[in-house]
Amino acid sequence: MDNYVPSDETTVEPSNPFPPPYNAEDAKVMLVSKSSKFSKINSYVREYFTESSDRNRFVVFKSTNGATEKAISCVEVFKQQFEEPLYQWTRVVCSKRIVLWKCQQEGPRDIRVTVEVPVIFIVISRDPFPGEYSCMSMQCSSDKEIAFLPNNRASHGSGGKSDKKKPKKGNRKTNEGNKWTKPSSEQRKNEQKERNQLLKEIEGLSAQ
Amino acid sequence: MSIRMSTTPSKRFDEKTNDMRRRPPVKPSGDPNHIYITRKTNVESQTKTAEELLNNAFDEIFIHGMGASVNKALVFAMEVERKFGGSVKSDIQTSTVQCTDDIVSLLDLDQSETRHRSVSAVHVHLYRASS
Repeated sequence: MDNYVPSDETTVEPSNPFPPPYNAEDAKVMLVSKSSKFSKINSYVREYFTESSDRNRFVVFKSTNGATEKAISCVEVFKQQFEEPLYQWTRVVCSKRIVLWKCQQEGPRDIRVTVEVPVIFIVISRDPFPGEYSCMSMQCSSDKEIAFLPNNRASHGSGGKSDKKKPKKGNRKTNEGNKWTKPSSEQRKNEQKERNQLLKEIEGLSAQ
Repeated sequence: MSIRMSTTPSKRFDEKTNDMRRRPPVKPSGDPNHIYITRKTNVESQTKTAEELLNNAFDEIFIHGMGASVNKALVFAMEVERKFGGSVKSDIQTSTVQCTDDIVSLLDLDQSETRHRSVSAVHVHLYRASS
């Protein structure tokens, strides 16, 4: 790659993946980059929500230049600071960054490199989302459960620990032929009865 | 010598006399279909593991990433989704995870303080789409 030099770089920006009205042209989209400040973005969104509370009902957060963690943190901070319950809908799409590398020597052809960068879109709405769009990517700020926890519980309940213990118990029971295993209570009682009978017989013989 | 942390409300502490030990965050589940992405995770090898899980053992997997590894977790999830074409779909949720740090005085090892830290996390649910 020593003889190659990047000559052209184009970025194919993804379109808003949400259905209307969240992808409307007049929808407020907050672009969050790595250098964005939480306080500035969140105070702007707060003002936007409060200036006309009947019209401004949702905001879309969009990450730029791979600042997905920043966008998520920004939304999480805003949800904690905002008094009302907020409804969140998250989607991830890819933006393509195409870089053309030109060869400085004659002969080898140019290289076209395509890098896919994840872009996160988060809708923060003051109203619940319509029922027809209902999916597991939606959540509410008043939810205190960890994401996807009901599924975890279900899978955890039928999980491996109890299943692993059962065959061990079975193995112990099948080991009855082994003389080194600890005798069960019934076996011990039977042995004691036999011993007592033998003692009685010996005592009877000695008395005669 | 006293720890500055205990006397000042500031989050800073003297790094010369104190050591910060980060406790590992609580995992939502220990099941094998939960994959936790860290900064050290190799995405390529983990993608193969996820493929094997979805092909052989499970109909759904969960990918978790927090803090600096959020972007990596999303890249990983999209890579798995891309490899399966349209047969695997994803749901994404975000949350805040409370992490605990221990600040231990190097002069007096019995003296320590805990500090809580909020870290953003992402959870991706990948599942086989019903045809």
